[in-house]
Amino acid sequence: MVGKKDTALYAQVVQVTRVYFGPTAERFITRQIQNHLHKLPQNLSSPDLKKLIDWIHIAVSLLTENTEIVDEYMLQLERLTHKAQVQGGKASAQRS
Amino acid sequence: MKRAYNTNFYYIVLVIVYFLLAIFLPANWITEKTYHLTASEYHILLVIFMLPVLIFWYAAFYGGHKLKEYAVLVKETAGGTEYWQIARGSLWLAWGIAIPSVLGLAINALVNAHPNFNNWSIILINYLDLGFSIISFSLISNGTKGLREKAHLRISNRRLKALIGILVCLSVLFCFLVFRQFQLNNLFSTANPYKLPLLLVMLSIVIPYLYAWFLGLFAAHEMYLLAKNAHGLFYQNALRQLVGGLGCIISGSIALQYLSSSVPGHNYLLLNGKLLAYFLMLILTAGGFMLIAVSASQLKKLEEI
Repeated sequence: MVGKKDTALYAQVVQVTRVYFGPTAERFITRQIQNHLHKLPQNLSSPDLKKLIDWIHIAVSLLTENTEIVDEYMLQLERLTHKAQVQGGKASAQRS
Repeated sequence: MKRAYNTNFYYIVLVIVYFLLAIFLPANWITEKTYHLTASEYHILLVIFMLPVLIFWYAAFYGGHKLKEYAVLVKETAGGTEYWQIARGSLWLAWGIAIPSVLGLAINALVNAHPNFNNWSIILINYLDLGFSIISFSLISNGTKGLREKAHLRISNRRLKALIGILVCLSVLFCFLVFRQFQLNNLFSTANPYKLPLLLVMLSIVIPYLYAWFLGLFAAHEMYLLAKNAHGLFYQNALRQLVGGLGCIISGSIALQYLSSSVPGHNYLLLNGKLLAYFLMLILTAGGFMLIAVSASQLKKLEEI
């Protein structure tokens, strides 16, 4: 169940990224996870998101100087973090 | 690293060969006589006119190899093979402008010493230009067709009709420019700038050129469709530049081939409208190759960052 949720989290990050990276989105996110978090993409969990977003921010800032685009992208990723935290909280409440 | 070395290596070899030919081959007597030049003045003039051509070559090889680098990077992904074909086609276009120029200089010197070779030299250069055109546009077209099919895009009827209309206009104008140089009362005469009978020119030069140009125009349109329908802000921006670059090199190359094939017949230097048009088209094509280099670097960055 946890594995499925985490794969879903990875898929959500890729989906948000697709708006900016198109067909290269999945490869981009996989690289960030593997190179900076030293994890397999399917093992991505909500606590990793903040660090991942920081790395994505650095990478995207190298691609464009348009801060509006970068901020918008980061905002969408941060929404995912928030969503993941809420879902995580609900899951732990159910367990307890 | 090895590829960057290859690009520079080929370029430097071409420049050295071209420079040596321009300096050491005997001066063309027609140019000397037309502009009242001494042999050394002729060589200086030739070197001056070489400079923009050398800059163009550099842009062409640089752009082509940048695209090739990107194609190597995405070779294993969907569309990798197609990008590889487009990169190869772009490089063939670059070679197709450089090699006939170098050979033209050498052959021109040979013709100076042995005027009997004049007809053969014109025929050879014409077919060489044509060969490069067919190979490069076929490769680019195969690549863009593959990418379009993978993206499940179809060309609308309206756009297809517009493309056919452009080709018909291009063909009619080209045929007019070619035919006006023939004595139409004697179809087997070789007393024309192509040094070939009309029927042979039609079958082996005009039709293959039109075929190659159609492939080129179609490929440019397919790339435009791809960029228009691509997802991803950064990816689409890079692809748009690639489309602009490919459009410039395809239209610039077609214009250069149009010029050289519709007004063939001499390889020597004449300061006329044709030379000016030649330089304008070189600038357009060089701009296209630079755009390709920029876009390929951006696409590469998306895959490496």
